[in-house]
Amino acid sequence: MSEQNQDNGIDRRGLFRWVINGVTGAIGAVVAVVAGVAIAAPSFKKDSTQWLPAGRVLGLQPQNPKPVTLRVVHKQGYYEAVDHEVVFLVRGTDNEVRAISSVCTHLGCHVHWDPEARLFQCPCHGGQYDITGKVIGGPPPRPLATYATRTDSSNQIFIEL
Amino acid sequence: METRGNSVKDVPEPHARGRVSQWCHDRTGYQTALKVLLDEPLPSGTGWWFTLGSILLALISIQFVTGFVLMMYYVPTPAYAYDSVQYIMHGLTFGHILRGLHFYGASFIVIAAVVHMLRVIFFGSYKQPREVTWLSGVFLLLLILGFALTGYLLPWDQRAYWATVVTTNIAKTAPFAGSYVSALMKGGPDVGAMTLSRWYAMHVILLPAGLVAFILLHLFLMRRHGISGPVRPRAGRMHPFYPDHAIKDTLGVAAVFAALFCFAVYGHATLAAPANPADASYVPRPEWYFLSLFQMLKYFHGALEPVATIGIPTLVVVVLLLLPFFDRKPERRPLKRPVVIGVTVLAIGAVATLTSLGLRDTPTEPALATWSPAAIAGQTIAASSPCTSCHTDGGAAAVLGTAKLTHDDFWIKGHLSDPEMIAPGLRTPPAGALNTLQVNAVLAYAKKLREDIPPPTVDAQTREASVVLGTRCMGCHTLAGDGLASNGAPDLSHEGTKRTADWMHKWITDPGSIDENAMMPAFGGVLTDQQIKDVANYLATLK
Repeated sequence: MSEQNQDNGIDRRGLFRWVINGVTGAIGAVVAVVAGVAIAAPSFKKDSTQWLPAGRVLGLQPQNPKPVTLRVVHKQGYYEAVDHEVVFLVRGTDNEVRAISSVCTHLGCHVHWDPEARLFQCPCHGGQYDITGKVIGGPPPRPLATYATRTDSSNQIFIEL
Repeated sequence: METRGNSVKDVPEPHARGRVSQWCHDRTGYQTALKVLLDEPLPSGTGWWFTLGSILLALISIQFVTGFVLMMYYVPTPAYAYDSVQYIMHGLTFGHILRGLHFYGASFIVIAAVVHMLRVIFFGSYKQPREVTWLSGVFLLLLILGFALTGYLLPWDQRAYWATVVTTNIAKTAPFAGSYVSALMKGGPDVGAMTLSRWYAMHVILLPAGLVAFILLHLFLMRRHGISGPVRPRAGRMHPFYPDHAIKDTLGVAAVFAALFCFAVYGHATLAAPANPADASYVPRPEWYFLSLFQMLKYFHGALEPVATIGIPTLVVVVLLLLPFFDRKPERRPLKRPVVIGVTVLAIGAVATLTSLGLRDTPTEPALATWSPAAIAGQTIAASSPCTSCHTDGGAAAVLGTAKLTHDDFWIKGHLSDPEMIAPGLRTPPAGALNTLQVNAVLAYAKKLREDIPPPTVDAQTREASVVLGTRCMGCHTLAGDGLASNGAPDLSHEGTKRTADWMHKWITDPGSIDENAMMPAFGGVLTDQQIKDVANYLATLK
């Protein structure tokens, strides 16, 4: 075999190797992207919100938080989990209704309203919040979460959860 | 035994070594392993027909990857199997491509495996010393068909359920142990939760383990004996597998993958209505590659049935297994082997003919997007008292139609006849039980909810007609797959092609005025004239 032919053979085989690696890599990449995105996507999907009915404005005493239990459907892939979440409705002096989460921002225990101290108290580690959800004492790092509310023409309150 | 031609030393290095690969090679010796794996010397003239094994291996690898990801989302229980597949198809990013690759990949594998086997038969590649290689290939084909069979049930839709009912009944026709085999396959007297979980276990554990074992054996034997090469040996030196033949394999795999990907993206893998064991109207059909066997059953009745269900398939497998021991002469040219080639061609013709006849007989699936009158009647019932005493905004239970329905028909039937059963003593049950027809109407509505088909917008007359049809007429008649079909009453699905609205109005009001021997009772005093008009006008539209 002459040097020239051997050179041609090496070039041809070099091209083959390049095509084999390129095409195999491309097929692998396509499958990896489809599989990888399908694996990762649900982990980064945000839960959609929904407006839930939560009673009527007239049933609320001003500045007197009232706990309401809401039936919330969370989509978990193929499964719909039904949670019952407690939210405090607070009717302000201006008649505006605010919705405050009952979940303590420290470690997730449920707070309750202490009508004598006029504070939200956490039974786990003594976290305290005022009627607007602001931290007054204890370990909680943030105020209680609040939710958007709206009231329709029949004074029905809806909370966005 | 073929000579091995070039030794490993004669062929070029598989990879030019860079600094990183050299570092790795110094510590692991991986280049030597690659050299041993890739430097298979191939006879001169080894062409494109010899790429089928690599194509098959690539397709199987894709099934492993996609199957692994599908397992993360699929739930093998009757309550969630269908929902989880629906979620994969419609809720998961790239989910429909993922399932498409797996779904169509199964068909591609069956085609590639059969074509690979036919290539081996036509090229006489099963002959001495490759008999055991051939046997391992036959077992691989059976394992692939096992995958196809067990995987078909997993979506738990009507096609899957009823095809499996037929399959397990076929197993029952086997002589002596048929009923035991069928019971083992089902895990009980009927196809149900136990069947689904054991077929799933087979599909994801046992069959993959067997497949990997037989693929390793097949590849080991292929390397031990070398590939058979062209039918007529050609002069010329041996070539290394890599890259001389690997380039053909790669291009073949790329072409097949491109086709598979197009099917996955644009084909939308089938998902019929959810499995409903109570739906006696469904006509089962297997996947296309089992259609020839299914069609064959039509020609063998009674005592001869086991011939088609067990006899012929077993005979085909036995003939395949014994082929290298019957055809022992070294002659490989097809024209010099008229018996083997003739029988193979006849078998291909028979399978093709039976498959084509089976395809021609396949009924179209009922239109999912339509709501029958019974379903509309059920929706109307669900939106009224007593259901709304609990199923209301802020009520004890979700508003019907707003949340995914996961309960099966059996549970719903129990709930409708005794609404208190889900929370005994906790709340006052609503007054007024539903009768059988009303329950059936709600079940038809529940079916549409499970299928996630949005409710149609219907005018007041159509709704009124649907309620009457669904809660009264369906006691004797059938319509759009609903109804009890008793007293010999006809199906009303195409009534508009037979009668006018005026005629039907008269008939419903007093059938005796048209036919004194009519069996249908008069509804003149039972329904209002407007209700009868609505029903007659609606039925007249059914062409």
